[in-house]
Amino acid sequence: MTYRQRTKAINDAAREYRGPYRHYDIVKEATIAIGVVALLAVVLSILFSSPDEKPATVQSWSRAMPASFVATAVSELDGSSGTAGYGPPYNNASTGQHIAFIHLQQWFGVAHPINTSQDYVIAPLRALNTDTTLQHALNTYTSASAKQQMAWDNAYATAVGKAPHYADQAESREEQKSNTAAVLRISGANMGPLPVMMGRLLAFAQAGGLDGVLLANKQYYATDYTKTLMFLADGDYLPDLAQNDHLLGTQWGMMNETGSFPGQGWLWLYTFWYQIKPFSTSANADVLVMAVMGLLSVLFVAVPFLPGVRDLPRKIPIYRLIWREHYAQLQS
Amino acid sequence: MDPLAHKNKFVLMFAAIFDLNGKAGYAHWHFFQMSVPNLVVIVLMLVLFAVALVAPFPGNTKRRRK
Repeated sequence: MTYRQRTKAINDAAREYRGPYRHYDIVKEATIAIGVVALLAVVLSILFSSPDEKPATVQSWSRAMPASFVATAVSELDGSSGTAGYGPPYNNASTGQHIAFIHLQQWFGVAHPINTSQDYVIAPLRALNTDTTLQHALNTYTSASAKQQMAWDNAYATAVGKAPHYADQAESREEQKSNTAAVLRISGANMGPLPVMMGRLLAFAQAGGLDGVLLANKQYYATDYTKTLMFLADGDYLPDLAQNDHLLGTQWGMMNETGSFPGQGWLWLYTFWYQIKPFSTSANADVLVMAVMGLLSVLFVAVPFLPGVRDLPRKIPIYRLIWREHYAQLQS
Repeated sequence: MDPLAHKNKFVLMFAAIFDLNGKAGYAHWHFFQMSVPNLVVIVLMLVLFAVALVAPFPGNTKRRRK
């Protein structure tokens, strides 16, 4: 008998059920299930509560790592930051990720424009319009040639890179003050108006003003944190926090949670691909992983049509273990 | 008096009995790594699955007696 004939015979035999029937109350079953889950949710939240991390803000970043903050601000100003070169949906600096002829980022276009120099540096500083020294410095910067701006940016960024505790997070108020003072001392004729601009931006950020400016939009409720998040991601502060909690992509971070809370274990397969080649070294990793997961999802949906795979329940009869009393009755 | 004393009492009243905000342990093997809390949950799910397979259906004993 061929495979096709054999499976057809099994299917035909099962088409009309001739065994015993049992009453099953699905409403009762669902009520019990919802009740048990609700009780579990209440008991577990009393026992374990939920993650209670301090929010990572531009203010906390600029206080903990002032040198790193101004270095990132300069990279936003000169267009060398990650966000400035990201491409769609933020700008047209690159084509973004693609797979073969599929350029999803490019196709959807710049849906959430971010002009890093304007949004993160120049516009927030322009808002401080009562500070005439700052406005003069801004005018000097914006009216200079691109070559001159780049020379000032590079000179300032080099000096900031040598600031003490550049990559360390301050652990006390005293450390914050001394690290901030070290940044504010940076000056030099070759840096043009940068020391004034960055000093004011640092003070504005440390007071919490920059968080407010980056959140401001046309909606009544400010819920769009994209600009803040992209700015934070360009610096060292957020990646440091993420690394400490094993939340980076290279640390299977997608399935982890802060503290000792269990995370999203069901994302193991998604995050698994990011750990192995070619995904771990590819600039198109996100779109490649999405494609692989999409293909696997289609295969999963198509299980009833895949010869061999669809026969697994018959070959590994776990159902017989579940319904063992029924099959024992049939045998006797 | 600490101005936050009243708030602290309120927070303590609703604080979790087991504080899970500390650092988690991690199982590491080559490129594989998983947090101990995730492993605990996965092991619990497997145990629950095994129990669901072998535990008798509620009501079966009653039916057998009939």
